[in-house]
Amino acid sequence: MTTIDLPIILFTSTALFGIGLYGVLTQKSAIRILISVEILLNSANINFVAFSTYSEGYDGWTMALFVMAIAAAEAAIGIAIFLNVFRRFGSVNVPSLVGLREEV
Amino acid sequence: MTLGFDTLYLRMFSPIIILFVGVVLTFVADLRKNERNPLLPAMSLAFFISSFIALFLSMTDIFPYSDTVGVPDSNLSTFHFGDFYLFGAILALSAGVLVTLGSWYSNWFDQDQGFFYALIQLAVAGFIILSASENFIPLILGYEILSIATYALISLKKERKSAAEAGIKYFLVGSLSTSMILFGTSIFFGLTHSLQLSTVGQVFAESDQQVLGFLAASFIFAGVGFKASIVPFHAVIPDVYDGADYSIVNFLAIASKNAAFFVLAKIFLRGIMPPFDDEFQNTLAIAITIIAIITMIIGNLGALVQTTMKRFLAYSGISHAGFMLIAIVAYVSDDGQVDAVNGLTLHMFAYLFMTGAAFLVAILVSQSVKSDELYHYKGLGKTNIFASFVLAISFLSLAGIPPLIGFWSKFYLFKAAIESGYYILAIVGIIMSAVSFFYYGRIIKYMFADESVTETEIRSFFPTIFGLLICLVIMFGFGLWSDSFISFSEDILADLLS
Repeated sequence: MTTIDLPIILFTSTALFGIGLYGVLTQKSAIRILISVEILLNSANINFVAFSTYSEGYDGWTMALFVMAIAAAEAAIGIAIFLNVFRRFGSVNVPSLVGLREEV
Repeated sequence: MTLGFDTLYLRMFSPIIILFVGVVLTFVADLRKNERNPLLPAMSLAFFISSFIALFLSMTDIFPYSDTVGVPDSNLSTFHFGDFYLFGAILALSAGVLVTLGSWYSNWFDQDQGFFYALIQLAVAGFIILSASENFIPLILGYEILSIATYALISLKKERKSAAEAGIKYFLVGSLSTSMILFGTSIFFGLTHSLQLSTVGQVFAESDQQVLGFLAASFIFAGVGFKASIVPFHAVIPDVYDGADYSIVNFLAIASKNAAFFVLAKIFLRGIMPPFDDEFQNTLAIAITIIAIITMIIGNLGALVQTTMKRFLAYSGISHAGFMLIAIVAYVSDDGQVDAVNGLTLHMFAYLFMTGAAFLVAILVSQSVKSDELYHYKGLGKTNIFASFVLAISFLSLAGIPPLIGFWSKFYLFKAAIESGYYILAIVGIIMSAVSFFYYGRIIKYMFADESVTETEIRSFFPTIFGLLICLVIMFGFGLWSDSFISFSEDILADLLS
């Protein structure tokens, strides 16, 4: 059985975190932001799985399963919210949502 | 008969199980769509109160359990049912009761009433789960149950554009903050090979990976900081409060914010911050000191210039988040530790009832005048004497006037700051409390000194009056006899350090 070194896995997960954070900060469409958030969650997940192969117990594996469930639940409720916004505003571009802001 | 391990867990989880049953039954009872159904708030209230009763029965010795089994409270169990859990569950259920009472005759929900009460119960159940957790897994899971329920609650009123906009903003920033918390947790897991809160703290105190630990703690702080409305992460909070409906904003202010602080207290006070007295804690304390000062200043100065009630209460909440951060800094030193926990617990408890009372009155006013501009509060003292009296008391308590509960919570927080040597926090806190007298006093002046501008009569409803009476009793009661709470918070400190 071939194994991958831990530094390579950590480099991958950190790179994914950077890509996801870049996507959240630069993208305009809410769908693209949601995809970037999923990338962020998965980078944390890679960390959990990678570290749990080097430690005793099942904490890391359990957490990874729960993170997948959290990601699925967030995607479900997110798409419902986006659909509702699309019905009211005609688009899901975040910069175009300027109804609420400081008046002073 | 001796209770086995499983029955014992069933007994300790009974408050959460009752609420989950309540979620399902409330959904089922909402079959008559497009009609106001007074059964639904009554059911919601009944489930909250029975959950309260189950909580006290499970935590006291009225029905004793076998000593051979004992409460599963070793540091290796996933859940820990101590005094800190009891405090969190009381906060969660009180918030649920206040929100239910405030929304009883609310005219915002002509449909979707069942969804509202079911989601409120679900969110409160999430709060209780996270307050019982001793491990990162149920902690984050409970926090997510609460968060996802609030995402749905904010965009519940589908016809209103502002609710949709507030919902998408809260969802996008909230899901980003969740991934921050998870990434920080994964770094801690890598450093300590454990997700158990106390183990993480102990292993971490002996390790030499201080830089990575600081990074992980910053990620968690940034993630939790959004829902706790701490300043660099507060940007969308006033917008969300503005767009969502009053009953939901009430829940966000008194439950969601306390839950975020509870997560912060669990991770920082129970996990990584106990006084190990090393460089890592001191660096973290200095970083949080700077954030606390900025939060107090921005919150208080922002509240000075607001013209609508929701944004005013949002900035008031931001300033109180800054006050609560003092406790997390002061906990680092041995001297400030006792008063830090006294101040934090008392302020979380006080903030719930003070802000809850303000929101209950604001719900009444906004229902009658269909607007939340602050000038509608002019002359309220003549049209509705009881509501304006309670609002004035809650504002005086938020500002910190002596006989009320808000004075004692700020007193212990500033005392903790001085005892731990962070004098700057006490100085900024006292100056900012003085600033807060101006903006709270302005609305009290509106109510009692100014002439009314609107002719609308402000009606009050029985459930709201009942909720206001609860808040009034607690604001005066724990203000005059604050020692009774302090003895409880000393038990909480012993529980945190166990």
